[in-house]
Amino acid sequence: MKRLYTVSKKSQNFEKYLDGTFSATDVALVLETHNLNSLEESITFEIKNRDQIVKPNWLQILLTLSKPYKFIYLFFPVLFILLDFLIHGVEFDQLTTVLSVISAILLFLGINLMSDFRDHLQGFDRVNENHKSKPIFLGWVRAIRVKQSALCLIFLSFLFSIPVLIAFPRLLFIVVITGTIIFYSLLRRKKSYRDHLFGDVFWAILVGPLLSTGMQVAFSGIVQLKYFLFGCVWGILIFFRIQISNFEHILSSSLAKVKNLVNYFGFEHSKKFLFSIWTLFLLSFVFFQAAFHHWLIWMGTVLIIFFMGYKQFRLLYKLSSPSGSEMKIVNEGLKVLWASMIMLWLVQIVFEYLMIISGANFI
Amino acid sequence: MLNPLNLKENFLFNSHDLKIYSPKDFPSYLPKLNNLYDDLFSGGKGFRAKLVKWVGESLRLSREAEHLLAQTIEFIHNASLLHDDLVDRSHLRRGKPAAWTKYTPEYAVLAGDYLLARVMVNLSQFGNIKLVQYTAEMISDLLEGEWLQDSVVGDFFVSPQQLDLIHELKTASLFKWCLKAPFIAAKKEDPELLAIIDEMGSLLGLLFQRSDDLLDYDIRNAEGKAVLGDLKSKYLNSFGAFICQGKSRTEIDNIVRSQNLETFFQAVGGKHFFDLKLKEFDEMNSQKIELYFHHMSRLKEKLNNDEQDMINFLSPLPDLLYWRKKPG
Repeated sequence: MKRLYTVSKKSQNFEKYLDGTFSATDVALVLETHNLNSLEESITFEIKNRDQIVKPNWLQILLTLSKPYKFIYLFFPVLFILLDFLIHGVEFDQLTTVLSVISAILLFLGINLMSDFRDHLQGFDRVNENHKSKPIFLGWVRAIRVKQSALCLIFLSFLFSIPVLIAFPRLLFIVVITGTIIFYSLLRRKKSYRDHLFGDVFWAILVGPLLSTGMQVAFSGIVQLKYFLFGCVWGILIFFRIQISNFEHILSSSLAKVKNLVNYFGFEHSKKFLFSIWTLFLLSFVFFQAAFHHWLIWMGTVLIIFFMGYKQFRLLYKLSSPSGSEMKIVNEGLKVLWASMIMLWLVQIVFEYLMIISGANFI
Repeated sequence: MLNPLNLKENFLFNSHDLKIYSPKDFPSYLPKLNNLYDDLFSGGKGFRAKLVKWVGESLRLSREAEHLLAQTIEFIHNASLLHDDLVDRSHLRRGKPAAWTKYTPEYAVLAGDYLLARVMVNLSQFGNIKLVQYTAEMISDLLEGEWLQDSVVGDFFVSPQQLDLIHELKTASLFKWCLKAPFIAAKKEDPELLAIIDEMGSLLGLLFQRSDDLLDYDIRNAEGKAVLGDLKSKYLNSFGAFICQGKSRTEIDNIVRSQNLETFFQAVGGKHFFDLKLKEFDEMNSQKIELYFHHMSRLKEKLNNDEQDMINFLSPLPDLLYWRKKPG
């Protein structure tokens, strides 16, 4: 016989059961949620003794918690800036570069864990599979531990950034804006970016222009328009990826009254919305490349991605239901399009770098 | 008053005993309307109306209010059947020609609309605005569910989770209403109590739908529902989706082409595999039943002493709706 316990949002114990602080010996696993995102919300937990939980090894828990695939958001801009510095002979400080990359990794990890914690408390991990943190959901770790680890990582990130800030004080400006956005979107007790219609824009700004501008300052102390513009283009691409995920879960998240732009536009208009973001990305990509690179380098990428996009968006426009299997196929296609774009862009910058070190100079 | 201890007797009485439909309630000058409703309301089990009446009696609702609620749910349910048969192009309803085939599609649509309009007229006369609002919300959910279900017809790769969302809107909304509306009519509006009732209704709806979907595969099919009817209408129901999970396109193409149970068993990988999946499906639903009883014990604590007989009616419902066991 299972030990079941239902707790309503109005109860003082509601958060304690969700964050795992209700007992030192038991674990509460979410079984069913009712009236999500409303004052009448209630959750039924299955209560298990801590010893009953079968946990994988700590490395697997750590890997699952850190979601390695998401690090592309961070590593691509870092790689782009570093390779571009090498291509154009921009001098950069190796120590501040290493420290700032470590700081960025810690911050990124901290933000991701904090986001998992917020999603668990607010119930978005019960609506959207992509937001589900398996270690929390399966009782491998308590949500409160995830929050504590996140705060610890954010603090460590700040510590690693101190020497860089001393070396390049102008970086403080970026740190203050980043800190404000993180506080506003994740660290406030009651609200998070998910309560805001434009909440996903925070992410795009954070991993887009703020990250690229911050990195170039931390690496070299200089601010160039080129890297800011790169950050904007990258931010649009990240925003597109987030919207694909939102679109995939439009039905469940709309029923749970989740606020985001896809739910605001609805099923049919969201197709146009996704197409508009993609078009905006392609135009900004072409503008960026035309301004800073020889056309031979980037034209192939644009043509390939244009035709790939044409095929995927035709399928998207034909999509007839938000609840059928086609939805998954179309969204997988859009994710492949997104990943292909990054791959081609990566190939382009590596090719450009190899051309330079091999002595070919047509740029 | 219904005797809660004699459930067998209560389950056997038919919808005529409830006098859900009377020709006097509808204008006689409209051609074919009363004939159409005569056909529609005869033969149905009127289970939803009975559920409303049982809950209503435990709450000591007046007979007038009970009747209004029972009539409301049956009108809405039958309006949805009129529209559903036309949307699905089903030629039979309860073994007889569907209304749209016998009386033209136009009359079937209008008769369904008229029932929904009559629901609103009757409820607004009752004067409980919360009940009117809740009923309108339920009709919206029902229609959203129908709409979404229509959008997945012909999709044989739909997942059980996606179907659950549809069934929550289409089927569970009515069950939730049956349990909750009498509480609203009795002005018992403790939000926690209503939330418990809501959860129980949702689970009952889900269990009923899944059990109904099993009939398509001749499982616990005492009422003799047509076998593989859903599949032949290009609709993969919840058990179909459950069994097809993880199958390749070729395998699913073979499953879809099945004309009888023998070929279906072969296509899914043999009768033994089918039985294993059925056992897995039943176990999954047993957990839902466990959840239902958990909520029922919470409800018991919330009900007054004179309302406790409601528990006697609610206890056998999972057996009746999922396992299709006749009580008594």
